[in-house]
Amino acid sequence: MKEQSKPYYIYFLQTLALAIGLFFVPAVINVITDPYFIYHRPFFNLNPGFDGNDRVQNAGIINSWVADPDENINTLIIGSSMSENMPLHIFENNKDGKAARLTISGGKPVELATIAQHAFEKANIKKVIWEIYTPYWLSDPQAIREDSPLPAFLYNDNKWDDWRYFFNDDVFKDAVKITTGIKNKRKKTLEELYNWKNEEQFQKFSSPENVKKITERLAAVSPISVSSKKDMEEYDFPNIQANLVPIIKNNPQIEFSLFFPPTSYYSYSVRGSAGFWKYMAMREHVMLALQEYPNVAFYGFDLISDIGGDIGNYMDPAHYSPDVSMIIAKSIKNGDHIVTLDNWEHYQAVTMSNVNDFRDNTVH
Amino acid sequence: MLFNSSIFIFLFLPISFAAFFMCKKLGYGKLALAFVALSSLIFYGWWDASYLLLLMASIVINYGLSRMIVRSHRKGGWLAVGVMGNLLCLAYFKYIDFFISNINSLADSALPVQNIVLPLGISFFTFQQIAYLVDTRKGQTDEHNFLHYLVFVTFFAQLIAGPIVHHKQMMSQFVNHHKNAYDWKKAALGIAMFAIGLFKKTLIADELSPYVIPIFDVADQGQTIAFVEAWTAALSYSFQIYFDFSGYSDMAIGLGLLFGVRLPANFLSPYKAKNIIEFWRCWHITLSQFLRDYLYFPLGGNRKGTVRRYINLMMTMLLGGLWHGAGWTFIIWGGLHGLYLIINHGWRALFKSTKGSSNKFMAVFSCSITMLAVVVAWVFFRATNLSGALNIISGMIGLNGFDMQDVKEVEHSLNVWPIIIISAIIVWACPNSLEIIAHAEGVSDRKRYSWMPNKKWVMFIAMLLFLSLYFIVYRSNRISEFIYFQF
Repeated sequence: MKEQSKPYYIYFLQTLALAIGLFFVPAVINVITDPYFIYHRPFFNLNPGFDGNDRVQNAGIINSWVADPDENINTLIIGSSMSENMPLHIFENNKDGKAARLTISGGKPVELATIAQHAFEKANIKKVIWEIYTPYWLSDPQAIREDSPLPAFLYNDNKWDDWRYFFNDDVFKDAVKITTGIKNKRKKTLEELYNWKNEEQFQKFSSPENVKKITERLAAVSPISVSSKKDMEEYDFPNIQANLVPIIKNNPQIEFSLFFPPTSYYSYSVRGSAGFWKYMAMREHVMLALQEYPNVAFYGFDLISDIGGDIGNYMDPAHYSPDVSMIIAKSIKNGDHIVTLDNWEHYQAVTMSNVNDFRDNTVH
Repeated sequence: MLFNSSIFIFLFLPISFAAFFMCKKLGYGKLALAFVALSSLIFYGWWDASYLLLLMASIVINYGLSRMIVRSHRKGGWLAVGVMGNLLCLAYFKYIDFFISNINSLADSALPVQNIVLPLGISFFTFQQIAYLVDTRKGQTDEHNFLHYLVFVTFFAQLIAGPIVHHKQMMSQFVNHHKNAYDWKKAALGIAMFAIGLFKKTLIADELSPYVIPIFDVADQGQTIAFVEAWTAALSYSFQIYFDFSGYSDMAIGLGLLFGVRLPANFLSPYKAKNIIEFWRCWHITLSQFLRDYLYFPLGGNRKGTVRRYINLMMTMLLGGLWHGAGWTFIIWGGLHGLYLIINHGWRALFKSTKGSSNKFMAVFSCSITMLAVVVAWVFFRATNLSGALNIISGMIGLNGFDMQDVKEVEHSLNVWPIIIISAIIVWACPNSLEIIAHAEGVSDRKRYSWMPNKKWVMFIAMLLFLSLYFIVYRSNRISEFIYFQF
């Protein structure tokens, strides 16, 4: 090489080497810190806590806690934001093992199925409490939230695609917070993880101003009527076949407690007859699709009018309070409020009656 | 693939460069050039393999026509065939739907729109080849090697977004390419230019973009835009388009240098211009030169009197606007600049002055007026319809009031002002990328802020590269958190 070229050659190599070296620094920090515990728990017994970004954090809980035999986690709670207050300790005892919550806010059935399957592959799960909610009636079994999709690369066995976790701006920001001790909103235990209680929102929902709006909306809709009920064959819920049945079928060793969350009677009423019967039909489809599996039980709480009929239990038409979550958890634990195909007609009739009574009492 | 994409930076560029470098090092210069051509075809085909056929057909046919022009007695005839053929091809792919839509509007007809997908870079490689045919007819082309011609048209560094390269500027560089050893000075300058361009595109232009879109979308849908939001949109877009386009040109020049080719400058601090004439000598320089040499001059330029000169200017700018896009807003943008140029030339003729004032206040004033005119024109360039543009313009004037709007989509857009301020500082207080490397290239004596192969510049350029790569890779993998309840 000519002498006059040397400085430029050295400059070229040094620039490239420094740029590439710097490029890898955040990734290395992410590997060491692993803020979501995807590969390992915190080093040096540091406990930064669990992050509320459930779609990522659940992968870490599965890999580093559920998969750890010493943790003895054999019960899982799977569902949406409505299940985020389900108490773990109700399902735990020293003999039977511990529980973990793998809920995702705004989650879609395909995401819940992905998370559940990944957990089942990693550990010997014995019980699952699974929320069956409205997205199971979506026509697209691959539907996800476009603005916050599940990072599926964290829920497979392909380690090569995990580079997206390490070369990740959000992960790096969390790594910096953990490393520098910046205060964050992380929760220290699995029990409190994802819990929420927004007193202000609950008060607002049951405030006189909102009750007035609720009354006006209820007055604008007709009572639920049986005449709007369609035949079961007219409904198609591909999400059930695609994202629920295979999970149950492939895991006969797991005891599944599927529950129907107690939506407020207000919510049922404003959906109108068509919405009400579609929701009921979806639930019936679930029971029909899974009737042949002995390891599945169903729970419904719409007959408890003290829950659905009391606006004070809700912060919006669907999200019920932690107290209601406790009732649900204890009922499942004790085997109360079981729903079957045999008592389903009665269940629907009473629910319809309770909803219409609520509407009438509110409007009049 | 784009220059700022991961696949280009981490896969295509390293492989292409490594292969090219090894060929050069082993003394296979022609093979190195052939590899550049192959890489370029892969680069183009990555977007859509079917349009690769169009590109190759265009190259082969135009090359064949150039041979016919050289050998035939009917040179003019072959040239006419070539120019018409190229223009018809461009018209079909780029403008047919525009023509059909306008015919339907005027004649109240229902001719079916073709929904033609515009082949990437067709405006650029068509113009380049037209220029080659015209110059071949004039006897001004010396270089006729097919490989050199192929690389001239397809070189991936300039294929899809310019600079529009003149054959004289490029093909002559290939003649001795195979004999010369790899030029490390060019490589060093190349990596510096590429890093600066990548930074401009990734950290400034792409960061401005999300703030521009909501306001223009809302304006295009008919919503009136208040004063602050209107200026936010106009200034954001003015800086976005500058940093996007000049950044891409810098990257193109940098890539060219990595492969031993010096592409022409395309931007020379156009927003520092003190008048529109100067602006067009600094903005998209290669297009301006093409329009001047192959449209303005053949129309007569300024040789046929003042009135004809102004007509020629207006026609050139109107067609220049149309070249940018098949839409009336582009034509209006071109027309506005035509008007600006006419006013500028008229002013000069009236006051018999071609030199700017040395008075600093006047310089700032002139620059501000020029910038204002340019910003107003950009509003038309960016809007998708005339009413949207007028909504923003009327907002800028204050006709829609000064109160902040209560439109959810545009609330977030006001957070762009720190980036606007930083952009303004870079544009007006910093040297441009070509000024930075001018001293190293031997075209300037100025040493201050000039690139040198020393530690300071290693760190600076490496930091620019690192930040750009961080934004491209780390931020693209972000995991959005769904932060409020729903099922």
